[in-house]
Amino acid sequence: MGNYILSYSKIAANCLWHNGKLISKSAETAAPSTILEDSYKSLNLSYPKFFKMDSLSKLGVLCAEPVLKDEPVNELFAKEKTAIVLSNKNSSLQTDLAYAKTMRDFPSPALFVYTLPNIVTGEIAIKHKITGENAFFIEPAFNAELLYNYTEMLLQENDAALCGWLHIDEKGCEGFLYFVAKQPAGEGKKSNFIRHNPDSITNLYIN
Amino acid sequence: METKTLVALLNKAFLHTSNIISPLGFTTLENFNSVCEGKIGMKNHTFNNASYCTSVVDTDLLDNNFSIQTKSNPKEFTRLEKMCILSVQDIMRHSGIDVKDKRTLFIFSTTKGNIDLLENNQSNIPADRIYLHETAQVISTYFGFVNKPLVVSNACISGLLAIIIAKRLLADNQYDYIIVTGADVVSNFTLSGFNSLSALSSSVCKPFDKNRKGINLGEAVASVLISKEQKDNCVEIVSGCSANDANHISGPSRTGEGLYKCLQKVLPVGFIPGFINAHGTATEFNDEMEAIAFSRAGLQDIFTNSLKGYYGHTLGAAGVLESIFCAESLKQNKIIASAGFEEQGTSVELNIIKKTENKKSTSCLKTASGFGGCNAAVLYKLN
Repeated sequence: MGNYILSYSKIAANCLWHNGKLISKSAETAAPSTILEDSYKSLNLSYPKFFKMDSLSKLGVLCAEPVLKDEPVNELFAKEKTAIVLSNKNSSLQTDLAYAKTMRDFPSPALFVYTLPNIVTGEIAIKHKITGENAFFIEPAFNAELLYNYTEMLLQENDAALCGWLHIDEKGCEGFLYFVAKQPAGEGKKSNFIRHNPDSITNLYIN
Repeated sequence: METKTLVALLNKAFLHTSNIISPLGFTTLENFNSVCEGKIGMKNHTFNNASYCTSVVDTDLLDNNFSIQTKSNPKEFTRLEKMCILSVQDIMRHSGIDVKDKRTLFIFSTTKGNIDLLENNQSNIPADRIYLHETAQVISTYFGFVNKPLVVSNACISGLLAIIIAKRLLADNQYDYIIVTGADVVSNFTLSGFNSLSALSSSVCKPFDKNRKGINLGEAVASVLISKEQKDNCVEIVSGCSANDANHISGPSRTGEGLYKCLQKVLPVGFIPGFINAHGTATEFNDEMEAIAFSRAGLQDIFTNSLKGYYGHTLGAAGVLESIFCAESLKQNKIIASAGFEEQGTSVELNIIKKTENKKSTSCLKTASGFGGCNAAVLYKLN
């Protein structure tokens, strides 16, 4: 019994990691936009929509990609019963500021549609056809307890959840997504998976 | 069997005392009576040298009320925060709940919070109040809640989702009392944004009508106390859920996929609610999508209304405000006319309520949909 983290990814300090393995590394001084583009290339993605997205959506889509394509996750993918539970500190502030700059002259509808934090939820849902529960929480800092509590409640009626933290500001970006499910596919693989609890979530986030 | 019954009882959650701050009143009763009298919040207001049909709270009235009711300095708070404090204070006054109790939680639902701080630098308001969690914290600190507030920002389903989250937290026995506050103000930011999408109607909006031309933006704060306590004539949150269309970030699914999924999950097989309070924004695509989802679920003949014709679209407040109206309608045996509706305007004919009248219903369905492809539904039942 209990729920397991089957796969996780992180974009932080100019690198993209998947299950602890380095996928992409940008120059130390790279701007967030460069880190996101490098990650896109390293994942061999071909998804033209990506280039229309704001940085928050790009960050989420890139973190979600290796996790949702991971073999154990793919195997038990019940898209209607997979939730997406996300959080951050700034909501969509970076894009709000960018849109506000266009307001005086030519307000940009293409920017305005990204001025909500949960647009990234929609982008991930569209790319992977996930139609389950959604929630976006705004927290002053990463809150493993909240993500854990809410996801555990959802998993009473759902199969799985993609959860995490997607933060972007003028200094940089930090993305951390993980996939929680009721039962790992195949008993034999169980030992590879991480038990879902606030400590394990915190450990994956910090390390 | 006995254990099962006990669990079911523990899992229940009810809507209790509530408040609405809007151009139509500063209490739930004032708002409900105004709407029953057919009053409408929208007027032409000037923002950034352009005229918009919006529902806006009078600033002097707000500040006067705030000074009298709270004895606090109106200059220390933003417009949104003042409305929130007045709203939560009304809940406090009527419920006497203990904010110092670890089993009491404040949930704040908003889409844009203090977004007006982006352009109007207010020297008296610290810049970090642009952060939604800071806004929530200011309101929370004002009342002295010991728990950190929970902030939900999920586009136009935020308010309804916050109520669903409250029910789940109560069912999971994490709290005893939860105050859910939904809030958004009309700002240059949202007006210019929706205008850039050509989504604004220049006249009072007409949900589900053939001649609907888009939304009006409105501002409101709505708060409701939710707990497991079952009282006479109170409304239960029977079930609620959300679902994503996985189709488009700013347009609803043509087949109403996500909303239909919600209806399937929320309504027991064969159950017909007394009426539906729809999202009904009065955009061409939203109302059409809802009509399709309702008919797919066999609900096209059920009495249906939208409150956007009275309040405009109040974004993060809408789900809470409209849920309070659902509860009052059930308690006061009223069905409320869908203001602005004259002629069928969706490909599937709906049973839109044309006249506010006395009619007893024991249950109703509340739905919401928003950008990012999100949808939510809740089934309410009168006890």
